[in-house]
Amino acid sequence: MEESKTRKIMFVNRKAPHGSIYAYEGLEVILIFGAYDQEISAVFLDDAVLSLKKGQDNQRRLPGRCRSLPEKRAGYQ
Amino acid sequence: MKFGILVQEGPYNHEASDSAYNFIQASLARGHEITGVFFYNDGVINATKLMDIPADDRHISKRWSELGSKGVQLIVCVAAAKRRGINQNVLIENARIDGLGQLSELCIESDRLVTFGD
Repeated sequence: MEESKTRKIMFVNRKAPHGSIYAYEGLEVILIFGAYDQEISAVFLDDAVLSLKKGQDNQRRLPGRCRSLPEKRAGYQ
Repeated sequence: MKFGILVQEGPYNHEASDSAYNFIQASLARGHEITGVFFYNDGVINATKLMDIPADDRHISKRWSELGSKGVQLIVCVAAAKRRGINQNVLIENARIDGLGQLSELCIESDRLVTFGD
């Protein structure tokens, strides 16, 4: 690897928080990247804006990880 | 330029995998470097050797494997792979299963990370 340079990395979220695993796996990758010393940001476009809506019930009625986790993980706001 | 490639969709279902492959071929032909291909989400299904394709269609996983034999590293996300039944037993040759940290390394090593997804 080259000298330890800091990269600016933006995660583009475009999928709704419920109904598919995209939002969950997107969150998973952001959390891993958090362990590396990079400049990280996330943008929410299209249906992904719904991920930022507060007061969501993300535990009931939805299968497995096909649901958002905005209020379950610290630092994801 | 150094390109890292991220594939987020499965084969045949979506064009992303084909576009990624064509992008890589075009990049290599132009003398660019591919630092690696990372398969995430349903993209991990690109790396199964179990697919059985009619002779008149492209064999996507074989195509990836051949690219790997030319020295392009193919990395399959372990977490995404486990969920989708992809493990060492069904993995194509010249690919490896590794963690998301490898995607982070790709980002750091490359000038650009190009994402192919829906």
